[in-house]
Amino acid sequence: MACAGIFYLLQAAAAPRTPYPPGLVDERFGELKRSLPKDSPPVGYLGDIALETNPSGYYLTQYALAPVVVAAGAHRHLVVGNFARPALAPTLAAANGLVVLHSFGNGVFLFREGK
Amino acid sequence: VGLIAFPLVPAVIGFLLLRAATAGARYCRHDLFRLALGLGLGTGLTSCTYFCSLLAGVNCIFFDAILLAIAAGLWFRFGRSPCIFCVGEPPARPIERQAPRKLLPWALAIVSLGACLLYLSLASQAPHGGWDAWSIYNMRARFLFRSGPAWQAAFHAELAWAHPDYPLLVPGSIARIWTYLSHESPLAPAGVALGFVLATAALLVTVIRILKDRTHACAAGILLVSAPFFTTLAAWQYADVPVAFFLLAAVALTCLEDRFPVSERRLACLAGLSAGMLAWTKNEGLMLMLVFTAFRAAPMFFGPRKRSEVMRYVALVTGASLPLACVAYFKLVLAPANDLIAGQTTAAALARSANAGRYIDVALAFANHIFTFAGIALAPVIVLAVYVFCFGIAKPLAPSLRLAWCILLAAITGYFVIYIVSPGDLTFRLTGSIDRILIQLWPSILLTSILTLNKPS
Repeated sequence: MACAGIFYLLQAAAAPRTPYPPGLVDERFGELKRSLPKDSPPVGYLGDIALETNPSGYYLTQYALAPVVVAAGAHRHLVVGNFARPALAPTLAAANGLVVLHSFGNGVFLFREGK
Repeated sequence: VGLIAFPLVPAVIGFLLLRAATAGARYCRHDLFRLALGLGLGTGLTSCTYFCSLLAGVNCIFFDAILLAIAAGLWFRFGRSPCIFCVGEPPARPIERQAPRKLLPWALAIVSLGACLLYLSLASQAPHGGWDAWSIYNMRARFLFRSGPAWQAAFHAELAWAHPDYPLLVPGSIARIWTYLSHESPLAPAGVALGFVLATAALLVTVIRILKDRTHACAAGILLVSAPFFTTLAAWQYADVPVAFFLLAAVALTCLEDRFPVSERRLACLAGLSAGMLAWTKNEGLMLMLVFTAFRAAPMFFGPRKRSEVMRYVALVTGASLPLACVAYFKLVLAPANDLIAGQTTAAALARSANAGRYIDVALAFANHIFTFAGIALAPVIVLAVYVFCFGIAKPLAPSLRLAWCILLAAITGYFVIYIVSPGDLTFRLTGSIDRILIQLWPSILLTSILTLNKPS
């Protein structure tokens, strides 16, 4: 049992790893986080990947921006943008009645209501 | 400062409480047991006081100091007589010094080293933990630490996907360390997870060393530590290892009560504290706590020493009172409804419980995963079964062991019933959780099985 255990433990330790998004998200959203006050009301979320298909980008955004609550959906005064393809951001923002307030680079945006 | 926050302060608080309960001279060879159990219990207690400090708006260091003073006072009052484990302990048998029996501690050491390598490898690859860790526990810790007075934002309705109804032992412990440090560090959650996995393995080995012998203790340690999934869950920073620790602690203290009646009420108090911490760790821990306290009440009605059993049970409830008060306040005032309960209607639950196919699916899943949950082809459960077959079962079983088996069987039944009635996709729920649930129970099953053995090693 001990021999089998040591074999499996070392095999598991040496197994190849997949990329690890939570390690990168703090750096990516760092500037946006500093620009939002801690007691900010909940902000919305807009991305180029549908939440129903893959919500991990939304969850990671919330992880990075805590304690600001990020609500699923773009119906808020301030909306956070998380885009794998940043070129799509202005189009999707306009379609949701939003204007770009600031682009932080790396596909991270802050939008506000367009009115 | 980080090392003072964890593990030093929780370990000292827990160690002093254990010394108060079991006494002991200046240096005692059972101190590793006290240190292992004390680290886990101390971590739980300091997370409760961290929660109290949030409610009171006071720095948690103030509450830690009070806790430390209480533990020191109890040790000074009760803990300076001879160790209850050493008094009356038979001298080591010559058979224990034979060569094959010297191999087992070395085998345990080598397997433990392999497990440490696996932990370090996984933890360095995923410093924020696995999915559930960063999206539930570590994120809640960020809310508690970063929000200041507005920490209740952690339970906002928009965060329903992150299970804001989960109790706060793990996030509270992490946020407490960050408060000591005055900044966030991914070493805090990794350290808490490492503390619990080490404490669980050490507690299993040392309590069997006290109640049985060193050879069986090493064998049990190898069966636990050689399961890669046990270490993997710890490196992922999931709360299942703390649940496994507190269940093991509650069962172990119940067995110790029987063997050392001179301290039975103090040990019962610590068993109650461990059971309360189960409920403060995870929602399924609440079910385990209810099962434990219900079965522990049985000897009051059916046992031969009813008055003594009532006093033991009072001590047990006293021990559980602090974590249960935290759970009650959290669940009644702060936490939103649990998604399994909120998404449930009586009619739908009855319909699911009348569906025979669900029973078959859940039974098959348990039957399959009992051989695979450890993540190793040579299933530890088969090795354990062979081990028990070789040594035979003691007859009659000690009352505490009968109680321990009843608690474990009721816990498995409880999980079975939850799977049957819970809404949502059953296959998804089973594949995502059944291995973790078996890991929660595995250290306690190992302890109870080894203590059930007939012959000495």
